[in-house]
Amino acid sequence: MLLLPVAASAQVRESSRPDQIRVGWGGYPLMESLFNVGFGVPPGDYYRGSQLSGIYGDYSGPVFTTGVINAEVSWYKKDWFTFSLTTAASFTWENFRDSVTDKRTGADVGFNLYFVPQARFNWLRRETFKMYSSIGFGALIATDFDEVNLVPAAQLTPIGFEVGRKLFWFCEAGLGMLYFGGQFGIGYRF
Amino acid sequence: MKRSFIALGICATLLCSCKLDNRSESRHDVTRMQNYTWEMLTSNVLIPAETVNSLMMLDEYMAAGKEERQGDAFAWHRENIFQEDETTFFIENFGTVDTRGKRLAEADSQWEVKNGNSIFERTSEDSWKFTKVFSYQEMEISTTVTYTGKDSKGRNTFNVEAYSTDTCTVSSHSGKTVNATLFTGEGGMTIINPLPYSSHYNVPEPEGSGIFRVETDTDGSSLDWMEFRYYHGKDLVFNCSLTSTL
Repeated sequence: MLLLPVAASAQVRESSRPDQIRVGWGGYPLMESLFNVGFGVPPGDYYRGSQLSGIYGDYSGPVFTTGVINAEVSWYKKDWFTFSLTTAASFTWENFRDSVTDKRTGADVGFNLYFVPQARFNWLRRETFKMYSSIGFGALIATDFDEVNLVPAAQLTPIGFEVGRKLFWFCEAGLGMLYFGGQFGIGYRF
Repeated sequence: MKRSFIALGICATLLCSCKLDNRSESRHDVTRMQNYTWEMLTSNVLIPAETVNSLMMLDEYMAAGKEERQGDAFAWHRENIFQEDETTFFIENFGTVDTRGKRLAEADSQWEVKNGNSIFERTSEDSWKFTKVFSYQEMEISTTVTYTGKDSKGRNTFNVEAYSTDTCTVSSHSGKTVNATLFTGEGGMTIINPLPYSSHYNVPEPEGSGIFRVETDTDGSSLDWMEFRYYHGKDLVFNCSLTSTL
């Protein structure tokens, strides 16, 4: 599927090949689910032994996330190929409450930092409308509230759109460790 | 055009903070208190009584002659008690018992159940003090088990008086420490025919009665109490009060 746009892009070409920057907001943060929620353990359970910790230990409130906020610089290398460097961050936080009084006792904050170089394959390049697919491999630093992990990261974007001239907006659908679902944002060509 | 992009950016930022997970809810409830009370009743009252009972069976076995040990009365003993050396015996399901060369009924007898970190110290003619120190929590069980003879059905009957404390730091955020005081009511609890229960040897289930109470507090402020009033086979009766606020 990634090779298909190569042929298509040859048919319609844009006169200029500007580089660009983009900022966007990603969809469901898969890695936050894994690192900051999926493996999370209520603080009371960290203490071994007595069942008292199970009864009187703090319980956590809802977990909130900023989603994945990313910034990206792209260089057009060929009509059909663009190289992008994507950096992103997502933050997660949750409150803890006393089991008896329900009063807030504290909060935990976790964050993920991503660095994912991506190869973008341009399907269609018109003056105000572009379509592409991309694939990227990189790494992320993930905190599980009290420990830090360095994890390889991969991201596949089957389809993405850009609409506008110098100032444009974009949206794309994808799956991977950077985001899962979709992301959208704005960009600037220079 | 630029304004619409700015508006889009603001909307995106507002949308950014989304709920990822609902997480847990308070586990402070009656069911968990009942489970805790039952577990404490087991470790503080029932296990000491059943252990003393099994030690008495070991003592009987030690006193019996070789021919006598082959009789039906010692069927359980033959299959569950193994002598490791002159003073040490292994009781199935209870562990290794060091008799220190004395019979249980002898003055100053002090038997040790090695794998349970438990000490049975004879405190009077028919009473043994059971102490157990847990390596993984701040809890020390101190229970006195007194043999009160056989009931009308010929079953061993014990009076058990227990008083223990259990302390646990339960919160990483507030550093809250909860203390539990565990004790039997006035006169202790009566435990009849405690384990080793076995249908194979036609040993009926144990029975008991009395009050076992758990009170919890944090930093001197009372939290909850749970009272276990009666025990007969599987009929369990709990009364409790959970504080809603401090």
